[in-house]
Amino acid sequence: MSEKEQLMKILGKDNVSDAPEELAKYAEDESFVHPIRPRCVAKPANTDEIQKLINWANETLTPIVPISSGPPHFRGDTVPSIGGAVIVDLSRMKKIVRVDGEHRIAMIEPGVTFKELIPAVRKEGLRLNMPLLPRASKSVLGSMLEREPVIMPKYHWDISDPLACTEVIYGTGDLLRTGSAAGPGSLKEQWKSGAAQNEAAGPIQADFLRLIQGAQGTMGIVTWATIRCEHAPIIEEPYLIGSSKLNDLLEYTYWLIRNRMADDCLLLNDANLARILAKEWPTEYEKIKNTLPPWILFFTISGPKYFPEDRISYLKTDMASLAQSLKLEPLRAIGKASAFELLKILHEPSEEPYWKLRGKGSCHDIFFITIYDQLSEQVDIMNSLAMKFDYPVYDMGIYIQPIVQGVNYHCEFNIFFDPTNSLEKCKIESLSEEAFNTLSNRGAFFSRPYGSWVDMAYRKDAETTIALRKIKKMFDPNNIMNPGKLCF
Amino acid sequence: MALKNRDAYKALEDVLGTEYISEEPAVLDSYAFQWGAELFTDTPFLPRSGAIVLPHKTEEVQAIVKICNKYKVRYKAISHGWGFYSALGLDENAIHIDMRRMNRIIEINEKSMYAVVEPYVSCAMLQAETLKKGLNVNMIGAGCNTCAMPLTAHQGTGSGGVSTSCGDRNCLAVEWVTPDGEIIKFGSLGSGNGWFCGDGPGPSLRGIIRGTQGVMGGLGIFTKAATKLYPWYGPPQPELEGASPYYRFKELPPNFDIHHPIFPSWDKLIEAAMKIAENELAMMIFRLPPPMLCEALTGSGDEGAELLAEIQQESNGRPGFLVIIAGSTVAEFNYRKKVLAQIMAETGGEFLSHLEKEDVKRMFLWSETRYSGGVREAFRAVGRFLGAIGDSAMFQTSTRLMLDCMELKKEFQKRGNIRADDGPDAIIGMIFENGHTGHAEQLIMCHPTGAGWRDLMEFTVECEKLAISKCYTAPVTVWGDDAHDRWGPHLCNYHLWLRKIKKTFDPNGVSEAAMYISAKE
Repeated sequence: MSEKEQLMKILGKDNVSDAPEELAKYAEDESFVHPIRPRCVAKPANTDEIQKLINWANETLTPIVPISSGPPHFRGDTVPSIGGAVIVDLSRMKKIVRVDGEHRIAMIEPGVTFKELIPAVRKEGLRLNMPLLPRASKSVLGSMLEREPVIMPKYHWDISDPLACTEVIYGTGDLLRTGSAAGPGSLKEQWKSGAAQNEAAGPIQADFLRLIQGAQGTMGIVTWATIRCEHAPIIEEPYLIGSSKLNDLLEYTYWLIRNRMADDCLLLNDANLARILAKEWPTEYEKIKNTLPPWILFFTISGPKYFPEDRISYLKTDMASLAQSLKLEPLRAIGKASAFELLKILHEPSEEPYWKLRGKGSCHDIFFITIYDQLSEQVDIMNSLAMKFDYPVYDMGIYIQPIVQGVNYHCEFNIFFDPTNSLEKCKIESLSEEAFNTLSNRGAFFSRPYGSWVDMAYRKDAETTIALRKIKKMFDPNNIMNPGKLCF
Repeated sequence: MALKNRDAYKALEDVLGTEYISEEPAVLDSYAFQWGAELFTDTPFLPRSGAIVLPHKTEEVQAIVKICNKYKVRYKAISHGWGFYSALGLDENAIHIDMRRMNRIIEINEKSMYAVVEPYVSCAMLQAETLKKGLNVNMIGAGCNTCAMPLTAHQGTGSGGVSTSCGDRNCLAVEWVTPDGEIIKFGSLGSGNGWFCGDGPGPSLRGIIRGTQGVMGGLGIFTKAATKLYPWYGPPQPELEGASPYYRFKELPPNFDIHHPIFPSWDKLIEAAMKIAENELAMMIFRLPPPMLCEALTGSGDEGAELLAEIQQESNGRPGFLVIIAGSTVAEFNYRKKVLAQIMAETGGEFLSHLEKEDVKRMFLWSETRYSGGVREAFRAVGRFLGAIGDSAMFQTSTRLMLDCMELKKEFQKRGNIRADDGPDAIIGMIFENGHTGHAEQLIMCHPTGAGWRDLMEFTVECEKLAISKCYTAPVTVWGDDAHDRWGPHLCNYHLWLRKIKKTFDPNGVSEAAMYISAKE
């Protein structure tokens, strides 16, 4: 029996394909990684099939590359690093297993997108802590496994949030439910006892979730996960504050977060805000951008179930007083940007075309984690680097997201480019590498390295690299899980 | 008893100098004298270790660990050393590494709301500095004398967890001397970028150094770590009056209040606690059983008994909890009080009158903020406790399990070795992160004898069986091979992975694993 036939036996003949046009979809993405065509694409439907598939991969020593989101992909982590790989496309696993309004938890399979989950949690009076405008095809689980930043820092207690428990099939083929989902009992028995699979750590003296998060599919495949949600507020009021000085807005943001005043809270530069709001390209983009200050803070305040107007009322007073002390002014609109319109946009996935593809056709993100004290300098450095590489600074998008309750900041530069212009693409690739080298020596921590950053990131930290390789050997001794990624 | 391997002793002495190593029997005994030792030896002493060493810096810790690996000498590091956990498993082939000389606060970053500490920085020591900057620590329930590092504690949870989270989730970057003597710096620290993040690049090594419980000395030594800080709306340098143990705020800080509501039933208590947590009203939600509440509010056992009688009369069996409300502004404080009143009305809650006295409020607010409730109360009666311990997943289910365990306890009390509660229950409870997670336990005081401890431990195991049969989440007291082997099959055989971690990172098996797991096949 051929290997394709063996896979068909496990998954059914309609769920395995080696058609050239199908393989081509997975052979490359928007990133700069070298294209490599996989051997075939397999689409399992459940945990049992995934387990069998991983066992098969161990027997045949076949590399497998898990993918949960639909295209376009941007980071190269789902493009095989070596030939002969089987893509494990999890998009058929689309069950929203459970939304538990009382305990603020949703349980989902990897193929569930934000577009599908948002209405389901709303129905139960909940809201998600979302990343910034994910594309419509983005897997919720994929986003959270990658520790992507989320827009409500106040509810982002730990960098692993809002992911809670998972069920994972490791590279060995063994199944483990992480956190409080581990047991005792089946999920149904746990639900009957009142449990909700909400504790991420554990079981017991290890935190197995943290070994799967950020692993880019190199340790195992997650078959479902629980996601922490928050109660939807009764009233939600959005504000914009503009300034030419990033530091002033950062100081205001610091107090908003420290005193737990804001729900959504993020900073954009004019280019990014205009790009998000513009519906017609390029005319509306330019029109909006020309009315905006260089930096814009967006935040919301909310009134919960109890006396929502009262809460809104005091928060308005408190935030206005704080703004006055910093000579800032929270507004409903700045230029052609409306706070209410932005609120509506940010609570849904991006409309098509995906906002990062608007205008030029592709985007390369340079992002890292940093802290308040270093942020302004790092933005200045990046502006200088862009100029050095002849990239128009006025067109570069910047997104700053406070995370972990303000302890950290996610800082992201969006470099929009024309993917058909190979010279421009080449320059941006070089810019990306130099940005890593320069910024990582000035306090920027590239916690999620992709593409050419990977080697540079691990070269800076040999001890962590050695430790991670030991862990990889435990969970994936045959190195079948997405080999060639990270330091594996 | 002295360290059996004399070459190892000499090598350690060469690293530390004669002043910071000891095998004097009296010194060894001072470490072996631990509450709970009776369970293992029928005496207040555990077996002595072979030597005590006191390193001053990470390089010395690394040198010690390398010597231990070379000579196959087991070691266990302790920070503040709390109970039998800190000395179990040691003998003449093992050393105790006392981290008390590593007591520096390395950094308090006000704008990024974290602090970097060495292992002997206590919660009290760190809090004294952070309050000055308007920031607070996660005060561990075992008391302000415990380690401020978010790693060394067993569970790392405390009564303020509703607003200050808990141990495993407050941890940022870490400096770790691995069991075989390498130094690994986590996250941003490993990349040379400071202490602000403990995860990455890629998967997070935080995953192997603790879960809901710490590794309790069983997997190397943590020499520095960064911990998150939280807003403090009170005075930067509180003015006090009175004398120990009756210290109190000179004036109740503006925008602070403390109450002890009582409820018609446990269901109503749970409903109210969760509503308060989910609506982000409280700085602290802490359930103390009436006898412990009274111990906490008084300076002696006699005073406690007197107050208990008074409180019992008023509460008439109705359970309650402690809640501290604070606001960053007057308006916020008033809003929170208004919502609290509404929740009380919905759940039939009434404030216990004793806690409405102004001087009592000032005292209890200080003690709960600064000392952490639990310590005085846990030890005053007989000096020994443990009990039925719930999970760290949910306050609701954990409390319900404890209520079930109360019935079991009655049987054990008949044997006479477990102290009666002097009240309707012995349930402690706390809530973390606006109610997303929580914990409860039933602390039992036992007579300080081997028989007392054995009854208590038997009761604990029976409670575990109950938890398993009813599919309640695992408790946070799964220590040592026996317990891991007991629980592992019910928890997807996690213990087999834990053993692999131990074996991989401690190839010589020298990091003492009595409170963790061994690498046995």
